[in-house]
Amino acid sequence: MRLLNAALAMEHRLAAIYTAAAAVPAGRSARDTVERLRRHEAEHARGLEEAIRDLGGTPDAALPAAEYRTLLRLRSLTTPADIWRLAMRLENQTIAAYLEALPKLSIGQLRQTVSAIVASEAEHLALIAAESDPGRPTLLAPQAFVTGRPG
Amino acid sequence: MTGPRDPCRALTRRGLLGRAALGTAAAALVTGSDLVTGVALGQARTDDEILTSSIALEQLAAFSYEQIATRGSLAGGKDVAASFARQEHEHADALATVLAQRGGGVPAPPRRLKDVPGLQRAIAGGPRTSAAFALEIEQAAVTAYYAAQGKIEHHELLRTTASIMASEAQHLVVLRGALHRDPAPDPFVTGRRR
Repeated sequence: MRLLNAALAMEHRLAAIYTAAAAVPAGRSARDTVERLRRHEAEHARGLEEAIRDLGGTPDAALPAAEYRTLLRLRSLTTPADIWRLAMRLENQTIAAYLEALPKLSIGQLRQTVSAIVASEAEHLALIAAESDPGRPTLLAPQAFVTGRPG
Repeated sequence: MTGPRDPCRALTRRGLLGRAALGTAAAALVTGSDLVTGVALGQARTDDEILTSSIALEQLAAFSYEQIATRGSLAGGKDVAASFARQEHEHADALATVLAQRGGGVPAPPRRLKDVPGLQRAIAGGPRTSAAFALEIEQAAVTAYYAAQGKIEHHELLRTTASIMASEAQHLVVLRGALHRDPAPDPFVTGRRR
């Protein structure tokens, strides 16, 4: 249960970033990507909350938005490049944490859910790379193993 | 345990490719769910069986990208097919190392175009058809790894296959983009077709 709530906290954190990022002036493509990522993180959080309840636990609530603003220095996000840098770092951290936790999950279905989220975060990295450096498709999938750690 | 000459390996390969040939849509030359979930990994129960099926799929993907890179082209960019071929080889090699450590025999990779039904037609169809073909293979791989996550017992293998599954998901983003499809349609990437 502790693992799942830790995962939920990571999803809340990512959702908070993309919620704050929506206020940053950006072009249509960047805004669409931010909205997609925010929606996905919210779905991940909902899925984890459901899993925690199914196991008889209580999902931890997200922190108030003001706390995320302080903890993650979200006020310093002023350009799309700022968003992508922070998002890339935290998406990678999230992937690494999920992969670390994966073998500790004893229920097969939970492992499947976590793997499906890891793959989604990996897709996010590709979308962020596309926004950061458009027109270079091989950079969207730079490594054979997506571990969340520098290659 | 399977070896290069083991009939189980041949059956697996035949199963993989035979069912692949049943794809009905003209562009979808390989049917993702049939390719893996319904055949090889659907039947795989143990870590060794999962490893063998996964290696066969990675070999098939690597060979397909190599052939597309050398004989044709892939929508999405000049270097994409070669880059993805390298990555699929890395996946296959990593899985083969684990299987070998467990005393298992690595399946023989495809050697000729006709070993992969539909590949020749995909290459002849041009960059978009090749991308659609590759997308089906990648989708099948994600489906396979997703199914396997519920069964794998070896801890490090769980992490390895999850990181490979994530890599295939990134390939999907590139291929969907090349085909002007929604690049990341699902918050939970399970290989389910949209």
